[in-house]
Amino acid sequence: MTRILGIGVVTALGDDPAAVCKLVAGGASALAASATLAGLPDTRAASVVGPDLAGWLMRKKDARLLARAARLALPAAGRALVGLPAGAAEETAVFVAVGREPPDDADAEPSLLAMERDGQLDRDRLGGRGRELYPPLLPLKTLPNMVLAHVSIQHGLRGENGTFAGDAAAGAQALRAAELAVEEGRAPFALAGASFSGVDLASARDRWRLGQVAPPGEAAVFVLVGPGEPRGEPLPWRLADAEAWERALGDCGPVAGLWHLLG
Amino acid sequence: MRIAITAASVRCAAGDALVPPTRCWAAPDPDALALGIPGVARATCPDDPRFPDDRKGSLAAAVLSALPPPPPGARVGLYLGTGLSSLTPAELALDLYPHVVAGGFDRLAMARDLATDRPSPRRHQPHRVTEVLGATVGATVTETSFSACAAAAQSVLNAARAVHRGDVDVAYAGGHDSMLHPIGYLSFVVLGALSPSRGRPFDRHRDGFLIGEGAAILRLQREQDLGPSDTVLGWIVGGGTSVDAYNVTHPHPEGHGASLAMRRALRDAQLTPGDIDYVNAHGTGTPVGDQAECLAVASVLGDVPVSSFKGAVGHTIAAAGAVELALCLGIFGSGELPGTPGLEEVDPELRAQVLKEPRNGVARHILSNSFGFGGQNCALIVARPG
Repeated sequence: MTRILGIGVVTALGDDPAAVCKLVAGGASALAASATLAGLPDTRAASVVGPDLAGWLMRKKDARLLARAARLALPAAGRALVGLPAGAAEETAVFVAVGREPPDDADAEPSLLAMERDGQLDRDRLGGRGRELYPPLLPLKTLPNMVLAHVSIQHGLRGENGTFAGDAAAGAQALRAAELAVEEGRAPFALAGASFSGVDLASARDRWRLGQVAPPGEAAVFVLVGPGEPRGEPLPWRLADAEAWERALGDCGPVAGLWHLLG
Repeated sequence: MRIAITAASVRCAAGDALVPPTRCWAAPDPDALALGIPGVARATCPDDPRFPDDRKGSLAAAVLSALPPPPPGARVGLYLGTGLSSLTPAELALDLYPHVVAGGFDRLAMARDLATDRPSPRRHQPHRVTEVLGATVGATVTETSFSACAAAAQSVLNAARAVHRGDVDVAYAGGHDSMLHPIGYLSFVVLGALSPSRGRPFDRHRDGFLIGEGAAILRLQREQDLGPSDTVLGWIVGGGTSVDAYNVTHPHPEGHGASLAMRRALRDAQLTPGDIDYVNAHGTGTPVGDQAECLAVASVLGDVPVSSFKGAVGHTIAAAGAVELALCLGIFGSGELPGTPGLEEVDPELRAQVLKEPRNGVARHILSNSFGFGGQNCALIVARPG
């Protein structure tokens, strides 16, 4: 058996799990017009202000390597890990769920424009100005498993691990992988979480084209799982009510698979 | 854990045979040449209409369709590792370049372009291939690993554990990836990861990797579920994963994370270092990566034969762990340990028994390494049939 030893969240309704829960249950919503989504049929999104990374990033220069999902993840993971016993990090497992990979067209815009000729990618320009202008660290920023990489680096986590992709199910898979790692004795503790941001034009346009009309959101939820009997009171409200969370915080992709933990 | 591999299918530059490659399959590609890269290792694979402008989806569909279906009534899982879907020339031409105005992108016009017939939105859903193909084998469990170059190996390990626990009766597990397009090349060129000459893992003049593409899927079952007609190609007996937690851009110089993964794999398989007869290295051909891996192999396994396939079929990125494990299955029963295609002069600084050429030898247990950008590592151990 396993139990949750720590939790950290970053949402557009705040960072206190219990308070976020109350707000959602009370019908609050963080959805508001987003300038980033101007031109789409619905410009509403649930955006996180910040987050403030002070105290969650050992080397400030690493901030340039952080995509939005990694920025959201660091404070949430850090809060979840507060109770991790000293010396346990080396064997602590970490499982993270992510959604669509971060779009690379904004940072790469000067390079992509430099490669264009007559509406097509031009091979000569690709090897010329396109190459010169392509940000050298962009691939490392956009790799989806970088959320896990940055969280691990900050906290020295070197245990069993996995990065899962998908919607709400991926968040649940990360949690289950963490529970299994502890139950099967492969790790004394395991960090499980999901981090996602859909508040950018490329992602939001893709969603519209796929017929996914729920406003996008962004959030991160992480929990520290350890051995022990589960404890807690029966939930007074259907915290797993996906529609309520979506009305409050937008579509947060794989994070939606972990909303129920906030109770 | 002792999980039978009852079928395997692979597509890579060397073809679809389950045998270690013996020569380099690199060929020139105009887009790669424009970036100073002389060759890439391209697989032969038809485009699948379910995955437009998504080469890695077509590769996955091809290998899955070559496998036998699950037994009637079996609970089935599909576990696939996949990679990044960078911008393709088609996506640029359809979705971005029509909106260039006065030297910049017109974001309002882009936002209003909601045409539903574009491949890009589906291509950017990393789990879509797993879900679409999962339906074709009746999978009630699907899982998509997104762990960079360790993704496929982690999928195989997760699947083997799921079969071992009894979560599913049959697992199809592997990975698929292709970054053989201009932005794919560019992503690695700017990192200095691609060889401007040729892929030659463990060579004293190694200067980066040969990029490839591919897919492989293994069919996994419990021993007690095997029927008289089932053929066992090998047994997955253990695996381990780790994170470097060191640096986003570089592996730990002494391969600490890699060592942890291999030690955990040995512990999981209840084996000792002396039980491993051959190591299929991650062995990309980058100066730092090969050195760190050799240090790690030596520290955990001692003087064990090591070779790499990446000078032959290229680095198939997120698919590499499954592609190379599938190719390793041909080692069992061959009486030969494979060499390292592309390697001319073993770097004398490397502390490992690197095999340049194939040599006689019997492999009872093979350990296969996969290490990803971001520091995710996975080691799998497979035992010979019998």
